[in-house]
Amino acid sequence: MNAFVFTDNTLLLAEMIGGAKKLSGGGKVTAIVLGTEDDANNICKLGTDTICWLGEQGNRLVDDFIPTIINLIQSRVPDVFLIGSSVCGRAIAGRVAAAIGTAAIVGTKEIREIDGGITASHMIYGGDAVRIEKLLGKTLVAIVGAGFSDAAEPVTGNGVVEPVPFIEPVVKVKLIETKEKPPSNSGVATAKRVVGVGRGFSSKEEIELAKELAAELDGEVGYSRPVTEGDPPLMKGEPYIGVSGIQIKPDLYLAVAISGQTQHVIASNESKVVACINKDANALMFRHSDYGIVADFKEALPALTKAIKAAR
Amino acid sequence: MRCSYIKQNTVLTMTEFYYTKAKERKEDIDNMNIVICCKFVPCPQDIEKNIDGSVSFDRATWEISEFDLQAVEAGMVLAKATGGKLIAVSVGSSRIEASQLKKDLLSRGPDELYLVSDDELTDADTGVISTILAKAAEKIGADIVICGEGSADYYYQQTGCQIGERLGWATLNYIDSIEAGDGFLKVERTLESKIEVLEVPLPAVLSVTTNINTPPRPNMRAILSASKKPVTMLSLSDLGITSIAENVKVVSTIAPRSVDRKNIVVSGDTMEVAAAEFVRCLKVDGVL
Repeated sequence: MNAFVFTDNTLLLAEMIGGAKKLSGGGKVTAIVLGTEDDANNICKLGTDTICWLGEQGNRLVDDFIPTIINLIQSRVPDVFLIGSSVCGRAIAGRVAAAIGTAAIVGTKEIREIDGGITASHMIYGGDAVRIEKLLGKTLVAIVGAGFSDAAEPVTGNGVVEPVPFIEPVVKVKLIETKEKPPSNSGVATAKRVVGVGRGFSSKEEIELAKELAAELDGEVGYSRPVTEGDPPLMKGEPYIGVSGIQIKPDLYLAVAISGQTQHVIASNESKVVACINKDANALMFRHSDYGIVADFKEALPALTKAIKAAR
Repeated sequence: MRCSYIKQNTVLTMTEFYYTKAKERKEDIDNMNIVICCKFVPCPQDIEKNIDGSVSFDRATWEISEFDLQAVEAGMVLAKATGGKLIAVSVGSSRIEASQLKKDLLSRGPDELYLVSDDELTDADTGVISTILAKAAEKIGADIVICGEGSADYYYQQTGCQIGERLGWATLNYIDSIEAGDGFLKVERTLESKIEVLEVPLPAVLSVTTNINTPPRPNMRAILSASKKPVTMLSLSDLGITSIAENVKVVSTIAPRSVDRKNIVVSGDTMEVAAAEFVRCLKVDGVL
């Protein structure tokens, strides 16, 4: 199979190239790269055959490069086009899919070649079911996230960097300004230890308790969906751990004051160990945990922080 | 005044999924036709899992996809701000003709509703649905199309962008805020590490996140007046669609393997004792 890869999240790139190489068997892997010439050359080290180099983003939106990307996919017709999961990634997936006449798969868990066809699986119904779909066209467009594959091993590359001319979009969306986002827990997707903050928390001061524990664990704090979108949301706009948000695969996931809805459980149950703290002994989360403490987190979290410090 | 047009010859070189009739840029922000795309779905919580792993919604209650509620409200707010008309469109199987569904949607603000209902569309893929919605938007004379970021059942997060690409209009996803400007829309889009404030020319297709607003409950007056609002059925042939070509084929839908967890409740006479035991377990498991 021939595979193309694009991501605007450089943290995912090595893993996606690894995944593409595995999928392609002996076929060709091409990375579409937005960045400096050095970035493009460095990606050769991951064993891609070709780097289609779009140039630097500069003042442009990532979306401004979509006509260029569409043209590449239409002319090269790869069997698979993997796109890294991100806001812009999803825009690219939808627009490329429309342009080449297919339906993209988002939140892809696994891609397989079977009987000369390609299938992709992903979760639906908030995580209550896994659906496998078979591609009927020429190119599978699939969004993949962290955990899709193992990172590509650096290799001595014979990769060729091919500069790609920019195709000016016909319709121009103009960037008026960029606003800083308050620093968010974007490290949660790849952290080895995660403390989940749930609806039981009612103030930022209480969230500090979770942050202290996470710091002691060398981990990150994650949020459940009600915390980021509730009425009113405690941590508005933050990414949340959920089937339609971030999926995590840490060694340890500690869900605190989280009820245990399917969409959250599914997004966290690939953790090696799941533990939970909840003052409601009947909370569903206990059923999905290896270890649980029935307690008020305001007492349990400081005690755990202290115990972990002592155990080091 | 600077005018930009969607070039006729550019549109004609696109694939057969594009439309040969381009829409000229709309300079006048007032009196727009704001079309919101809405999906009716079986309530995801009503899922039934069978012993063989298959799932069923045969006994589910159908409802408006929850993420589309924010889209409808976003359309309402924009319509009020600009004196525009809010038109809802929904595509699906004949189940979407249920009067309770139509009334529910109309009670949330749209002035009228268009339905494209055909049993062949049960579980149609995003390529098929976006093609139909794009054609419907064109037929209705939309100046802006607003969608939810994804639907409550499958959450593909791409239908809005597909519609925009098929129409050749300005297309953005993950929109958190929309304001009417002078001949354009000012929107905010939250990326992973920053917020982009963007000027979007019309016509445009925007997919909005759940952060954009909190949809209010319809009041009694809205619910009562809903049944008086016009509902128009559009057939596929009304939209010039003669055949539906699937892009992907569903091979299977099964409940995922559930992971067995130990379900050990750790307790102790004091919080300190319980915490120490908890930590010990985690150490034994090698995750500390």
